[in-house]
Amino acid sequence: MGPSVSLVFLFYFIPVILTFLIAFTAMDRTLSWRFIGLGNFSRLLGIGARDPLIPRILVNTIVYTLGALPVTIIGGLLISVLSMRVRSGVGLFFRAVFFIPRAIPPVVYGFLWAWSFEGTRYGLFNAIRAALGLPVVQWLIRYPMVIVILANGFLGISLAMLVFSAAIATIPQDLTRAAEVDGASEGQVVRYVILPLLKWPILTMTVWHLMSFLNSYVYIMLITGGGPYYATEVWSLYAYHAAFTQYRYGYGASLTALLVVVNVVLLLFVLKAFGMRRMLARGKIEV
Amino acid sequence: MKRLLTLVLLILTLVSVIGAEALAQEIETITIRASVIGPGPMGIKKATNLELAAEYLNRFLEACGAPIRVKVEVEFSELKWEPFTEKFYLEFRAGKAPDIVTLRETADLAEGGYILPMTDHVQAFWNLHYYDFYPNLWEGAKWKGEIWGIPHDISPVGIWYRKDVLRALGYTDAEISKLLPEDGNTTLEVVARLAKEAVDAGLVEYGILHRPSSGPGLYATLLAFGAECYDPDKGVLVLNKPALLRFLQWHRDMVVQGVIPPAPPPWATIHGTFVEGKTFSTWASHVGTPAEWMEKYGLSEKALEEDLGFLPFQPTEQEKAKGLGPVSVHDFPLYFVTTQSKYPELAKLLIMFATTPEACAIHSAFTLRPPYRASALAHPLIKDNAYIQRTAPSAAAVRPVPIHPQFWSYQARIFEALKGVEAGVVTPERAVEDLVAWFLAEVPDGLVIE
Repeated sequence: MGPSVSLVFLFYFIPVILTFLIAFTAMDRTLSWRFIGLGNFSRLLGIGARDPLIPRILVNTIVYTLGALPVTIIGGLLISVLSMRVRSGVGLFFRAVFFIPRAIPPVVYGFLWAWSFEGTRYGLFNAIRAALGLPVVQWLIRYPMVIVILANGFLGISLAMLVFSAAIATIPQDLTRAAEVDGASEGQVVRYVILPLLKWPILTMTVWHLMSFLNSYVYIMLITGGGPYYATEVWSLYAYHAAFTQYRYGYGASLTALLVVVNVVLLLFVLKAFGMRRMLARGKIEV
Repeated sequence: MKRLLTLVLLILTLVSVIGAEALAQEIETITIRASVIGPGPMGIKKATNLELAAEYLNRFLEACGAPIRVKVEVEFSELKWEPFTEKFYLEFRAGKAPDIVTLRETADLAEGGYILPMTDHVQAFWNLHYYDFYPNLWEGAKWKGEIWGIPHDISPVGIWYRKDVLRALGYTDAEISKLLPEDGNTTLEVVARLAKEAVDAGLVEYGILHRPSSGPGLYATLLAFGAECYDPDKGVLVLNKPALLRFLQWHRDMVVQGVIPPAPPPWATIHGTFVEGKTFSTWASHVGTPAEWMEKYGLSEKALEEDLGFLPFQPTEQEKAKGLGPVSVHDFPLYFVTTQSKYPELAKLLIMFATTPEACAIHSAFTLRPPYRASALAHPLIKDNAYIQRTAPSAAAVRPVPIHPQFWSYQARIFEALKGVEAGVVTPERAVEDLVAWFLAEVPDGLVIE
C-alpha cells in the first residue's frame, strides 16, 4: 500500500498540484514563477480581457466528446455482440481486425488517418476517387470534425469491444440457451439477456471514454492540428497549444486545471447516474 | 591609423580579460561552450566557423604572449527553432547555459537578462572588424538602443519561379525578363497571372505555394499588401484592417482560381514539386534555398541557372501605385553571449573571429546565401561564384523582421486566419474581425488601423 500510494502521489497528485500552482502564474518558456492571481482564469472565463476563442473551443469539445462517445460505446457493443454470436474463429478474426488501432503506435495511426483523407490525389481516398475519374475532395477541410470523431471513436471501439467481449464470455450459456428454448429470437436474446448483463462494463467504458475524449488531443493534433481555423480545436488541444506552441505555460495550466475540475465533477455525476454504490456492492455481472 | 588603434584596444581587452596576475602563470586552456542551430543541416558552418575562430584566436593569443588558450565545444543542432529555444531556457534555468548561443528572440532574451549587450564590443572593434557588415543587419540586432548580438547569416526571402514553364507557355527569355525583371519592379498580380496561365495550360500542378507555417515569407507577403505589422517609432504592433482584408481576400481569390491550393502542402511537397517543375512559383524559400534543393532534391546547377528565377516579394498594383517597391525580409539569427558566461569578453572575441570575411565566405559558399559583409564578396572562395555574386545585392536591401516579444505569436494568428480563409471555412471579413478581437485582448498597447 505504502509504495503504491507514494507512486500515485508522486506521479498524479504532485503534477496536479503543480499544474494548479502554475495556473496562477504568467509562466512562459523562461520558466519564471510570476504570480498573477486569477488573471488566467478571468481571461478564459471572459472577465476583463477575454480569450475570444474560448466559446468556440467549448462547443468543439462538447461536439467532439458527445460524437465520439456513442461511436465508441455503440460500435464496441455491436462488434462484440456480433463477433461473440458467430462462429468462434470468425468472431476472433473480426475482433483482431478491430483491435489493430490499439496495437499500432499512435503516431502511425494518426498519420494513417491524415494520409487517408489528404486533400490531394496522393491521399488514399482521393487516389481511389482519381482512379474512378472523380475530382479530389478536401476531406480534412470539409469534414474535419467527423474525421477526428471517427478516428478517436474507432480507437475507442477496440478497447470497448475487448471489455464487452470478455463480459459476454462470462455470461453463463444457460441463460442464453434458456431464452432460445423459450423461443427468443437472436435480437431478443441480445436485447433482454445480454445487454442488461453488460450494464457495469458499459458504465466502466462510458466513464473511461468520457474522460478519455475530454482529455485527448494527440490524434486530433496529428490529423488536423486543430484546424481548419480552429474547427477541431478542443479544450485539451488548446491547452497543449497554449503551453507548448505559444509557450504560455501559465495559461495552458489554467486551461488544464479547469479540465481537471470538469473531469472530477463529470466523473461523480456519471457514477451517481449509474449507481456507483450498487456497482461496488454487487458483482459486476448480475447472474 | 584607426585600425591600429583598434588593434591596440583589442590587445588591451585581452590583457584585461586575462588579468595581470595571469601573465605570470602557465598557459591555461579556457573552454568556451557554444550552442548553434541550423535549423536543418545547412547551417553547419555557423558552428564550424566558431571552431575555426578558436584557431585564429589562439594564434593571436600566442602572438600576444598571453598565457591562455581557448578551446571551443560547439553543439550544433538541426532542431527547429522552438525546441532549440526551449532547450536553451531549460539549460539557463539549470545554470548550464552555453557561453555563446544562436537564437532570434532578441527582445525576450534581452528583457529577461539572458544575454549581454554587445554595443561596446561592436563600437570598439568597428573599424577593425564590423565596418563592412551591411547596415540593415544591425537594425535586426538592436533592441531598446543596444546591439545584443552579431549577425552571421542572412537569407532574404522572395519569389522563386520557373522560367522553363514560362517558355513552355510561349514567352521568350526577353519577355520573361521584361515581365519579371531580376531587380524587381513588377507586381504580385503579374506573378499571379502567369501562375494562372501555367495552371490553366496544365503545365503545373500548383500555381503558387506559400509556406505551410508562419515565417518571414508570410511577413514579406503582408508587407507587399501594405499590411505593416509594427510601428518602429512607437515600438508597438500594428493591425491594419483594410490591408489585412486585401491580403486575405486576394489569397481566397487565388484559391478559387486554382492558383493556390486550399491547404498548403508540407515542406517536402513544396520543395519537391518546385524542383520537379510541378509548381510554377514557390513563396516559401529564400536566396539560399537552391543549396538545399541541390543537396536533397537533385537540382542541377544548369537548371538553377537556366530554368529558375528569383525576385524579392513584389508589391500589389495598389501598393506600387503608392510608391512601395520590392520587399524582402529576414529574421536575423544572432550570435549572443549569455549572462552565464564566465568569460564573456573572450566569447565576444571568438564571435568576432567567427565572422571574418573568410568565415562569412565559407558559410556563403556552402549555403549559397549572400554574404553578410561586403568584403567577403572578394574572398577567393566565392569571388568566382556567379550565383552568389549575382544575388549578393539582395542582402543589402533586406528588411529585418520586427523585434517585438509578441511579433511571432501575432504572425501565427494571421497565418491561422490565412489558412482558414484559403480553406473557405471563414470569410476574409470574419477572419479580420477575429484577428482584431485577439489583438485587442492580447496586445493591449497595439495599434488598430481601421
